[in-house]
Amino acid sequence: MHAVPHEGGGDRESATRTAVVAGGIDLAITLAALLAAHSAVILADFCKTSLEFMAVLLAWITIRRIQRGVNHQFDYGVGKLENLSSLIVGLLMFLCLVVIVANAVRSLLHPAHISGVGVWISGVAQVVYAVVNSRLYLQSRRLGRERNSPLLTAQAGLFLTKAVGNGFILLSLALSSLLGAYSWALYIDPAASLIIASSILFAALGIFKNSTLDLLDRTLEENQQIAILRSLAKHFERYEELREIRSRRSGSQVFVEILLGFPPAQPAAEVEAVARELKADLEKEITGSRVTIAIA
Amino acid sequence: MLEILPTPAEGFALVTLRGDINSASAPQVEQAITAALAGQNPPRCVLDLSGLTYTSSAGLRVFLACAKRIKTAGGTFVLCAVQPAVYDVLDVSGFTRILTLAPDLAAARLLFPS
Repeated sequence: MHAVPHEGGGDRESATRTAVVAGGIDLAITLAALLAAHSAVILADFCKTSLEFMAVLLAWITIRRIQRGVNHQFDYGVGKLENLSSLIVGLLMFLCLVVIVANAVRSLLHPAHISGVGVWISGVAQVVYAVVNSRLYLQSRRLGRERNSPLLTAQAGLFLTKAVGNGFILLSLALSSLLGAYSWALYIDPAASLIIASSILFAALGIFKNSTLDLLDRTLEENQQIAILRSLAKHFERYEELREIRSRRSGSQVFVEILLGFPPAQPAAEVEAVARELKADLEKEITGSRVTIAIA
Repeated sequence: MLEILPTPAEGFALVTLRGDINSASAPQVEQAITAALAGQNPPRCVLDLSGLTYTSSAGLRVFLACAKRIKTAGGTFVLCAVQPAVYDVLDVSGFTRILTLAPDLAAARLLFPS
């Protein structure tokens, strides 16, 4: 059976594969720090890192599946793999949130000084990974916009969350260590983990909302709707009636269907020319779009 | 929230819109225009947009569909007293090139000789 490779997937897979490798190394280092330290933040960091590694691994598997191409069994639905993966990423973030909050509450009720060589391991790792995650965030964000991919946009959110988390963890560990003489410093560690939890919550809500709406075949955003109308206005004199406009998103692909009426006596060649030009205009203006002009 | 006020006028159908047009209220605008044009040949319609503060793409779609239908039937479709915010949306969408705009209702009336 002939499979059609998905266009433009090389960059996306490369970025995600890099993220998987980086995530795996981060996971190993965080585990080492956890085993050698007593810290709510480091435990939260390990839980978060584990879930995030699973998320980028899932994203990589999804992108590889999509890039391998479709075999015409799911012409419209294959793009929804991205939405489903984004939803799973969001769900994993909620699970992570629960673990972190539970641990933070326990630490607030029974505060203790952070200790162990794992604190130093974690500190150095946070510096390195703040740089790495920031770079991955910028890369994923750029690719997400260029490719119109909700999965890469979700990943960009994930990397941003990680980079912010790295910064907070580093600050928390430093303050907890340096201000250990003060009794209130016992609460820095769990408090910082709650701040990390809130940033994860916001990112997860955004990912969940967008992916759910796309899975429900939401119509295009307002600016894209206006782009469609702008093209129709440009060709205003060339059709007789505007019957219907339908649009939806499936992963990074956008489908637009426009139903136009033409005078019965108009030659088919002219009607075809109008449809062809309108289709070309729209597919140029809306990235990743497949436009169908139907004749009423 | 949108208020639609079909008003009897001499020689054309006048529909006044007040508020915002969104995806929920756009179908009502189209229905009001269609009802106002019932029995008119050729169809002549003026939309008084002096009270319209915003329109989404759904409203633009209604304007486009109605303009096309009326023009195909040999009629006239005029938007009058368009507010700046709405004008900007019409302009960005290229609608100012295809629709007839009048600064106010008095100017719109002059487009329909009795």
